[in-house]
Amino acid sequence: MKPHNAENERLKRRYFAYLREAKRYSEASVDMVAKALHRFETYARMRDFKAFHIEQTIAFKRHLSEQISAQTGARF
Amino acid sequence: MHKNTVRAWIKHGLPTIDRKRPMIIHGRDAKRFLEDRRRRAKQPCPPGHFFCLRCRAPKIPAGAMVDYLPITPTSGNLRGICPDCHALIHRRVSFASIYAFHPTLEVAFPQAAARIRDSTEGCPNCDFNLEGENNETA
Repeated sequence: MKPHNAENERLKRRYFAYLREAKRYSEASVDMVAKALHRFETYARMRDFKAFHIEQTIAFKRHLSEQISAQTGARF
Repeated sequence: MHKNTVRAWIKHGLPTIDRKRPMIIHGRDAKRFLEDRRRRAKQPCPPGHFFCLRCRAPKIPAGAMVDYLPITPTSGNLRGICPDCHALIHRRVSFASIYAFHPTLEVAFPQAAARIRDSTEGCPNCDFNLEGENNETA
C-alpha cells in the first residue's frame, strides 16, 4: 500500500484551510479531522477520493464497530 | 523559517508528495528527515574526549593534560587544548567523577584564579536564587 495518495493530500490541504479559516476551527480540531480522514484513507487503501462511493463509508463504519477500544478493551 | 531552508532540505533528500507545485511535504516525512539529520550530526564524546567547536569533532586534549576549573563546590569545567587547532576545549564534569570518567587524563588544579578579581565566577544559573536570599535577609 502506498504511504499516501498525492491527490488526496492536496484536497485535504484545501479542506483543512477551509476548516481553519472559514469555520474557525482550532489547530487541535483540524488535527482531529486529519486523523479521522487518515483512518478512513488507510481503510480504503489510499484510494483516490475521486473514486469515493458511499458503500466505502458504510463498510468503514462496520469496520470501526468491530474494533476493540484500547482504553476499555470493549468493542466500539 | 526561510523558504530557501526548506528548498535546501528538499535538495538533500526530503521527499515531497509528488512532483507538482505547490510542493507539499508530508508531516511524517519531514519529521523523519529532520530527526535523521539530527541523529547523524550527533558526535557523542567518549570518556577522555572533549568536543572541539572549531574542528566540530571529539578530540583528546593535547598531551592529555587538562586544568580543572571549579564552577560550583561539586562540579566544574575541564579545560584542555585541541591538538589540531590549538583552541581551548572544555567539558563539564563533577569533581567526584573526574578520574572515574577520564582515567587517561592528567588533571591539574590551578591554585590561583586567572582573573584579576581573584575569585571564581559563580554559576550564572544561581543568580535568581542569590537575589532572592539577599532580599529575604535585607
